[in-house]
Amino acid sequence: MIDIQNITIQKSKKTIVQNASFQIQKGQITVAIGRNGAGKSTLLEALTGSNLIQSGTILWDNKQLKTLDLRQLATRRAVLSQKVEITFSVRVSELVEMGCYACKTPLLQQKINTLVQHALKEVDMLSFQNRDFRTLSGGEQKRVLLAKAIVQLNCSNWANVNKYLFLDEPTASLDIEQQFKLLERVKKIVRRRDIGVFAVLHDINLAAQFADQILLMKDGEIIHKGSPKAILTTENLQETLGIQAIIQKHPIYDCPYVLTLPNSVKVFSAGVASSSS
Amino acid sequence: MSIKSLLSLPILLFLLIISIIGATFLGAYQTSFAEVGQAMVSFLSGKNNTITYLIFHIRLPRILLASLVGGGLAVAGAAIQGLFRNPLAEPSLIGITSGAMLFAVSSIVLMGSVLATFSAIFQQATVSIFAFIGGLLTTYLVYFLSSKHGRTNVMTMLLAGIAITAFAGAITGIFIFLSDDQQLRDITFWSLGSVSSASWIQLGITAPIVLIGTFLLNTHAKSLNAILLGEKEATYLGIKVEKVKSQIILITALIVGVSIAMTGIIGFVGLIIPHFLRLIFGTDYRFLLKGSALLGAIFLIIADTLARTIIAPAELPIGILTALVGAPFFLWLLLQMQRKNSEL
Repeated sequence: MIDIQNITIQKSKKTIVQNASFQIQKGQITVAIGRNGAGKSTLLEALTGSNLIQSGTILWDNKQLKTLDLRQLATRRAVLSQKVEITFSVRVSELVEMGCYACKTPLLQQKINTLVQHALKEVDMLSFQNRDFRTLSGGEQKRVLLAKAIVQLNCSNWANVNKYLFLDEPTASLDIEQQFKLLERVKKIVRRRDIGVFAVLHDINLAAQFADQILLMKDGEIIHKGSPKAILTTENLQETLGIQAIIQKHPIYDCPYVLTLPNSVKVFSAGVASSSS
Repeated sequence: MSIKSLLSLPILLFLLIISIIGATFLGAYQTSFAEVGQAMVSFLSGKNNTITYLIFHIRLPRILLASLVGGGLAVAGAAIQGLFRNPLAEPSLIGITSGAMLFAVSSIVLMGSVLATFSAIFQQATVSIFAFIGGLLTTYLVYFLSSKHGRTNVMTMLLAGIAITAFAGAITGIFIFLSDDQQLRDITFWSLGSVSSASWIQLGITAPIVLIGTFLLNTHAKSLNAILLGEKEATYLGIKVEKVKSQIILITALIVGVSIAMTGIIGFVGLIIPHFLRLIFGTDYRFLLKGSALLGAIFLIIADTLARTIIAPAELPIGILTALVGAPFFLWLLLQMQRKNSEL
């Protein structure tokens, strides 16, 4: 478990996140939702080990985050970045192999190849392994980066350490099918390997469907936190996101379904709306 | 590392040995197998004759110096391109060359009258030492200007490098303006590069720096691979990016500094050799650094052999040849790759 206790994060002397407290449990997905600039990505950056934290503590499986060096951290967590820009040509398999760099003991090339193949298969990208990463579409690149994260988590010993995965807007630039597929893959890995996940998402319905815990953030503060059912309410979404929301029961899944509307639309009753203009 | 690149390393090493041997036979004075054999025997038995002297005190040192400098410049270029994640980057961008140039020129001009009383070797050594110090100083200045709170911004570093280069260029210009005809000629030749003055003493200084430097750069190959994805990504993979950065910059400055000090400015090697290999074999630095060192050495040996044979007994400055041969070849390669890519 990662226990975040009352942390405040500053960037260039400006407070970005204030008094944030929550826990990332293993085997669970925690999702941060908020407007642009609410501090979600900065929070993720701080959790992954940057030195931005001004006050408060982060206990990483009962160890202070500060006491873990980059190498130790790299064997305990992987990060799926929003975007990776590469100027030189890199083959997909070479890129995925970089996940192994985190490993303390050097692995045999054969073992590395197996890990890479396995991870690429897991994201359905095995047939792309010899392609130049730059020639792939945004969605394909995301899947390759996820494969790299999988390799990073798999390359070192699972015994005695919990593993975590951080996702920074993982569904941005993906088509609708790939958005679902990516989160389903993540969920599968989480359940099977008991990984703890922290993700920043913009899509409330994806969050409602996949998250075990949601953090609603506004101006650097976590205003509400809890299960999707508990905190996705009309009032909470108005307060944190500045939108009107109609909350219904999802027709298929056991989670809320959120219909969002801008504040310029007057809502008369649930499901019926008309423009104010 | 792909099998293709793994196989090509022994091939490159073999070609390097061939070119070293080949180059000892070629020159203004053509030597035969028998003569080289005899020279070897008399060199080992401590006897000296003209051919022994020619081969072991003139040709071999300069061939070895060319290979060290060529390899050093190419491996430094590969590392700098990797660190800056920029295909246009080369060691001169972070101020090494302009600083070395400024200090070398100032030593030629300011101390001209003082130095003239000393022997030629001492004069040359002074220019070399100045060039080396100048290269390191400007690099340190560029690095210092772009670092804050223990972090170095590579973008700022590139821009600071450009500004410092321009400034150093201007002061160099002033010295050139003040120089007399002989000094001007010295400056021009220095800036075109030459390995003709190579000696065993120079080799003794250059070899440890270039060889150890190349070895140390190689230990950062994985880090450079990870930095391909960006500094943040590399950090996520457990790489101590700031440490890697400062070490690579220091090592490159030492390698390029000593190279320029010994041979003057030899352009283009640091840029095209890594690119050439990258276009064919991809960007895995575990191959690219070693490959660049070997191919850079081969390239400069060939360039130097051409420089001293095509207008023999006169000699062309090697810097002219590296650009003259390198640039069209590089363009041809670029067009080939473009054609190949458009067919895909």
